[in-house]
Amino acid sequence: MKIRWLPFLLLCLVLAGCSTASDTGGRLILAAEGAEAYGSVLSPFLWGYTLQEAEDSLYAELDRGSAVACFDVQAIPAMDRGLGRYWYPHVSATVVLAVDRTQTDAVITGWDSLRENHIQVGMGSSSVMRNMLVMGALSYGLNRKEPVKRDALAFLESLVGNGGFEPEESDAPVLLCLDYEAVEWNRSGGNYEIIVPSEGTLSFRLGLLSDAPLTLEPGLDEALLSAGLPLANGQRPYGFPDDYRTARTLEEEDYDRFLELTGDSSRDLRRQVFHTRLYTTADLREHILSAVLVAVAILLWKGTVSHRMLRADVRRAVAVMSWLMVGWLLLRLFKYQLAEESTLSRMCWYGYYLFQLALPAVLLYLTEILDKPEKERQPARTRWPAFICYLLSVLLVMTNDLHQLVFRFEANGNWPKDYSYGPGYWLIIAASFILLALAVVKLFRMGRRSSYRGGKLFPLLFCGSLLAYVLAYIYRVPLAWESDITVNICILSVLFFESALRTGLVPVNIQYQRLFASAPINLTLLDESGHTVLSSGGVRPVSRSLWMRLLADIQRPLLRDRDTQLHAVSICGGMAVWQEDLSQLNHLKREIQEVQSRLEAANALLREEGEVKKRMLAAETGRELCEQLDRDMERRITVLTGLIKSLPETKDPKRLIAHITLCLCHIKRRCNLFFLARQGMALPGDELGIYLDELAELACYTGVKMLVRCGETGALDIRRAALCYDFTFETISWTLEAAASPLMGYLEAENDCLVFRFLPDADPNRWRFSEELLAEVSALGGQITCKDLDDAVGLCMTLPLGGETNG
Amino acid sequence: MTNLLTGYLEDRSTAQYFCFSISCEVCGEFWYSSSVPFSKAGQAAEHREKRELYDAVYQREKNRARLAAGREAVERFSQCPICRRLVCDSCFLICDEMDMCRECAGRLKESGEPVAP
Ligand SMILES: [Zn+2]
Ligand SMILES: [Zn+2]
Repeated sequence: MKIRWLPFLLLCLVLAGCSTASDTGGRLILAAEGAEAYGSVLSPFLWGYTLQEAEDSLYAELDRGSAVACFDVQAIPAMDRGLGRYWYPHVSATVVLAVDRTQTDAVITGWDSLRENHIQVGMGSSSVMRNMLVMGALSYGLNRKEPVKRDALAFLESLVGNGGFEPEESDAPVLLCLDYEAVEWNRSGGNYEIIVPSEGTLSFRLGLLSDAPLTLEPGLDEALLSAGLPLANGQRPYGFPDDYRTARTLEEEDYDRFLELTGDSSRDLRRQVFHTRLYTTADLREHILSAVLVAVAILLWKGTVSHRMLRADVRRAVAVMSWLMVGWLLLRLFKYQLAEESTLSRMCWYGYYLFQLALPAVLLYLTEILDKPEKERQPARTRWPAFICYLLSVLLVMTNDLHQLVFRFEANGNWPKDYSYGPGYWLIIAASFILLALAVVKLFRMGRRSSYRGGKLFPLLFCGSLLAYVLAYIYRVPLAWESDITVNICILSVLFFESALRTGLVPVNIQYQRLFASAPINLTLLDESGHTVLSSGGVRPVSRSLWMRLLADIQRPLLRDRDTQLHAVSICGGMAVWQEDLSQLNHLKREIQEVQSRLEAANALLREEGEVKKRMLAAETGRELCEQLDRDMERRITVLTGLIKSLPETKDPKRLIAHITLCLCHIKRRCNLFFLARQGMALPGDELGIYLDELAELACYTGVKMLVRCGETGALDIRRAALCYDFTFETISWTLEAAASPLMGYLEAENDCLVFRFLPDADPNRWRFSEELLAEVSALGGQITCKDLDDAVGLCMTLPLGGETNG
Repeated sequence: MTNLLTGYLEDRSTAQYFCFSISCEVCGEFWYSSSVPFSKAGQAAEHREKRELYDAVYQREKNRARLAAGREAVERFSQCPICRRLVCDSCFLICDEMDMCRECAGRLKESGEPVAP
């Protein structure tokens, strides 16, 4: 079981122990003051009922089925409100003045004569009922038509100023009492003159109120008369005044008026007659109300403190303090409910110290934990002395009945009022003062760091007034003694603590809230159970599922949504969570992605365009090539066409066909060389040799005997090779035309030059080579010359090898 | 509904635990399932056979955790009967005639209380 339920359980046990009602048979209860004589006469006539002490209020007893002896002013209003159905009035009771003739011989006839004589007046008791009866009789006596409470109070106040008015006093020369009481005193040797006030008074009726019909044995009236009690019908035994004419009996309609007049009479007596308890609670109702109000206020205050405090241990200490005060108040309330002054109520009284003495101890503990950071474990030895001190004090108080070291009183006397303090009391008070002083000193020493110096005045003030008040109470200074010590100590303690909070002696986190609210840090602090403690402005609360996931794996950040990432660190008593805004980042990422995809698209477009262009270019190049080839071949084809056309008229078709074949071969090889040139390839020297040999072989068919020898020339570029080839073909053509067979050719490389020589069998000086050939040769920096040898003329083409001279 | 939700689950598991999330299609906030620890987490697999065994166990437990997460999500997500989207309890309103998501309710000018504030 959790420890926090323990006090509750104890309280339940205590309460259950109180209600030990013995419900066997009927009970006769005396709820009217001075009704003992009546009760003892009545008891034998009421068969089946036993005379018992009241355990509860009149109304509660009625509810239990008891027969209650009470006054008509109690019974009739109760019956009006549905409590008790049967009312049997038996005895009449009139408020009278009993003048003790052994003490005074003043002439007294009624209320006013009391004012004139300076005589002390008493009432014999200050119970609520007695107050009510007297106040009612006074009000009705002083103003028979329109009785008002004010008159009665003013009268009593004037008595106080006159000769003195002591409600408790039973030995005063004049007593305000009931007539049968005074007769009884006279019977037992007193010398009282019984005066029915001439201005008027009230006669009440004493009788039995019950929920069930009662059967009374016959002969009660006689028995009552012989016991000296006047009957309700006006019959009175010997010893009563003769004249009761001024005494009025209340009628049915008067009771509400009576209650109005006499309600709160104890309070009014205290405040308006004796001028006491002006600033504190004066009667039970006020006691209870004030205690409940203060308890509620303390709990509310505790709520605000826990709201302001971040530290869980400080919060706990404050909560303990608050509950101590509330417990104290509740215990007092409980004690008020006890009808009689029994051992139980004395235990309750001792029990106050359980709470009262704990307060300074808890305060000291609080100041000690305030001095250290939360997680740091304090050595237990700093706390034990205070705790042991408290325990011993409580033990001492609770066992007071055994040793009377703390409070001294007569066990059978009026101990709630007549007690004195023993050495034990001074010991425990000193101990708790030392604890309190230690706590306060510690608090102020810590508070030195606080900059707010002037504010320390208030805590000091409240602390001082607390001490002064307790001392005044102990020494029974009336103002303090008459006041409600529990409520006052609670209020002063709360004020002290609150002022300590306000002035920064106890650090609170009021500012954190504001700091958090205004700081743009997106930070949330959560407690151990996932509730938000502090949160900066505009941050969405962390949901339970997020919190659980963070708790499971605090290292790993998590996405709250696509644009928000949560990071957490565990802190003392919970965790701190801050939010990272990813929206910028995501925006950037998206933009980059967009740009990338746009680039890719553009790239693809460009690639396609390139392809198209390439295809177009290729087509263009092909066309140009063809055109160039066409141009290149045009002349040769024209020659060929001419040859072919002349074929039908020729005399030697065999030779002509051979010539046409030679031309065709030349065109074919030239095309070949043309395309090789476009590919930028070189032609091996022996390949050119093969070409030239092919030409020589075909020339044989045309009747030209020729021989071409190729020297070591290496690989030739296509342009030079083509020139050599063309040069050979044209030379053959001229040889054919000039019948200069046989033809000798020799190709070799000489001093960086390619030299191609032909030696025809006729003079080649008149041979004209084609324009294209000559242009091409000179473009390469070469020349074609005729050389006169000894017995023949040779043709020579020289072409420089290597670098081209594009002139 | 559980099947539908299970299909929407995004895997957030690590080598140590299994966790799944679903995002609300209205507010975009992720809901995370209770994380279930992997039973063999932190145990080193010394050789290949053992590692394969662990991998199999991991997959099996992950599937189980996914089903559990789906069941858990049923408590927190609803499908809007109008737009058919998956919405979290704070975005799903209980309206007079028909419950629907916040955005649909706004469009239809319906008013209602969210399932969970
Ligand atoms: Zn949502
Ligand atoms: Zn919708």
